[in-house]
Amino acid sequence: MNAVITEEISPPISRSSLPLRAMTRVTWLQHRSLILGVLGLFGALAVYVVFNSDAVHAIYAQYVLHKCSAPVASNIRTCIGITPRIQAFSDTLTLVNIAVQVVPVVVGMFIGAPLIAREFESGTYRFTWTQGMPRTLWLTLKIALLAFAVIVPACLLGLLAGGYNNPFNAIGLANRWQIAQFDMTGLTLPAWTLLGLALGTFVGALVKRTVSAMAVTGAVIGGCIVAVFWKLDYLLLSIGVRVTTISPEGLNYGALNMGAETSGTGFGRYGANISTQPVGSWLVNGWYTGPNGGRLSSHATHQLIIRALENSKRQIVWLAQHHYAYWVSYQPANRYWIFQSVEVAVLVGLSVVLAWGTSTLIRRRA
Amino acid sequence: MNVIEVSNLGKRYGKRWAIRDCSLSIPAGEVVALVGPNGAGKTTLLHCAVGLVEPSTGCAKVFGGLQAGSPEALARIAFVAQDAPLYKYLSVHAVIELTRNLNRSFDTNLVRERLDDLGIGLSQKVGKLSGGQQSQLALALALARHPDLLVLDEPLARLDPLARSEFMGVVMRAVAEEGLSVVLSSHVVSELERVASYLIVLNVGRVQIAGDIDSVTEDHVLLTGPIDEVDQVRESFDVVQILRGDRQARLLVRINGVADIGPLWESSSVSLEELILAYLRDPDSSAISSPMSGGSSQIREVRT
Repeated sequence: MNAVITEEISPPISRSSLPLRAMTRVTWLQHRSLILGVLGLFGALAVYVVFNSDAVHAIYAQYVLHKCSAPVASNIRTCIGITPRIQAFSDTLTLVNIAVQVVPVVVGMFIGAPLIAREFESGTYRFTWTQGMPRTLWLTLKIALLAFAVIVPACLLGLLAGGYNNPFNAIGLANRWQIAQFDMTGLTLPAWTLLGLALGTFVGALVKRTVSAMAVTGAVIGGCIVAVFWKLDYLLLSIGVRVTTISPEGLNYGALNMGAETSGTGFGRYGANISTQPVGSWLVNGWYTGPNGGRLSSHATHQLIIRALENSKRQIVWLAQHHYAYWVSYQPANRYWIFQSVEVAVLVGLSVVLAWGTSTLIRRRA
Repeated sequence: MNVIEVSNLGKRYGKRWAIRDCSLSIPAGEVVALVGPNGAGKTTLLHCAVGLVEPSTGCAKVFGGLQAGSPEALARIAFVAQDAPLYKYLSVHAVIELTRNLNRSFDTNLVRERLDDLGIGLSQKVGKLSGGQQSQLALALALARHPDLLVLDEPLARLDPLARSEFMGVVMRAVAEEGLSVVLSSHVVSELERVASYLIVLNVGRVQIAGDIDSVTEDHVLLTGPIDEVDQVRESFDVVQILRGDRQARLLVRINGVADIGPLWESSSVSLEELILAYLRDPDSSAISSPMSGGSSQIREVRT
């Protein structure tokens, strides 16, 4: 006895050029569970960010209202109370930034990797790729549709996460240039997500085993993110830096010192956050030069700081009097979106190359 | 017109050749049986013909010159792969919907009627269907495309005798109603005689027999006679197989139009199954023009 199906199957379809509607239906039929699952994850993250963001922004509104960015006698008592309340959300900030970074890994592992690998593993490629639609068109449309399905929510999530970070950036607890934040904006997060999808698809076509492809994809895209955190962001933001010597007046000596001490290690940007001049710029490196203009080594810098501390209570003045200068290399604030675009271009370019590689693999390796 | 034409076709996986230097033409309007033992290269040949596999050497053309696997070719060929792979996690309804969207023309009603006849519910998960039902579903989906050529790779392997009969019944009805060409590979030799009109025997990647089944069986006879006259017979006929007893020998020969046999020899017809098995036992024998045909050093001898 047949089961009763109430939904009527439509008559044969006719197509003009690009069978987008038909392929949308195919993609939905095949991947709806995974798409809904991943979108559910996006949604849960978004809800978490929005929930915490409301609380942080409420406190930040107090910060703005009381003009705490310029503490004076009249507001100092109030501001001293507000800043720690925002700082209390630092752990949440870290958690949000980490969770959002996981999105490309999840998309790569759970949507990208099984896309082709499961076709090979179950043998269904022999069914699908012998239908009327050529397999390269099938692959192109499928990747494009799945990319659209994950890029749009990734963009929204990136914007939400950026909004959550804004109060922390405004009061100097964090910076939009720093790793994690720089890689999870409304531009870069979708680009990373696209790379995860393209990489997973490529690995799946190469490995032809779903679980192995998921593991390899997770390791590679995770490795890429770690590499970016560890070194690549630093290298990217070191391109075309401007160099200037900074007037010691009004500078946070400790921050600059830390920047100088760690210069050349790749971690200079961690501690040295120039919030004074020029506003919004990003310190890449900092170093001291001696009276003869030569750059001091880390060891010499360390000795110099000890001498300054021993000889004067106003170390910066002492350093200036003895013709020591502090130099920084930095990216001007107005280059932020240029570098965002560069990162997006690199990630999208890699994704296109991987998609082309997948197309080549499935043409030859079936 | 030939529905499939391959020349010097070869496919290598690593260092192993699945098929090598294969050249053959499959005429239109026939039900072609592609026979061979496991590993003979049948599946590779069919995969090349439907564009799933890119040959390492040579080329495969369909419908008198279309590149195998090209959009024009795919639109006219329906393929049911070995084990009829379908998306097991989808419902029958979803698989029909999916197939409809992957083809320019698709007769949904035909599939529904066929599945209704078979008692296959549209809401059932494909993975919950029996092997026979999955094969029937795959066949129904293929026929709903109204192809000019239906390619079936080992369609009978996992079916019981009743299901085989039903499956081939559907195929033959489609052949009668729509005049489509069919190529089916199988090593279930007994089923083929009933349905196929053209035979290709593929062994170790090369073609041993290619021709109309009636002609092939008429071209071969079993000769039984004295063992000491075997060499004289071998001079007159292409011998495929020799079975030697103590005094008598039994030879499967290709007569090549020669009718004169010695008075002590008896001739009898050979069944298709027997003929195919004889060729399969001897990969070097060939019933098509080849330097190896009839060469005495290539004849397989069996002592009984």
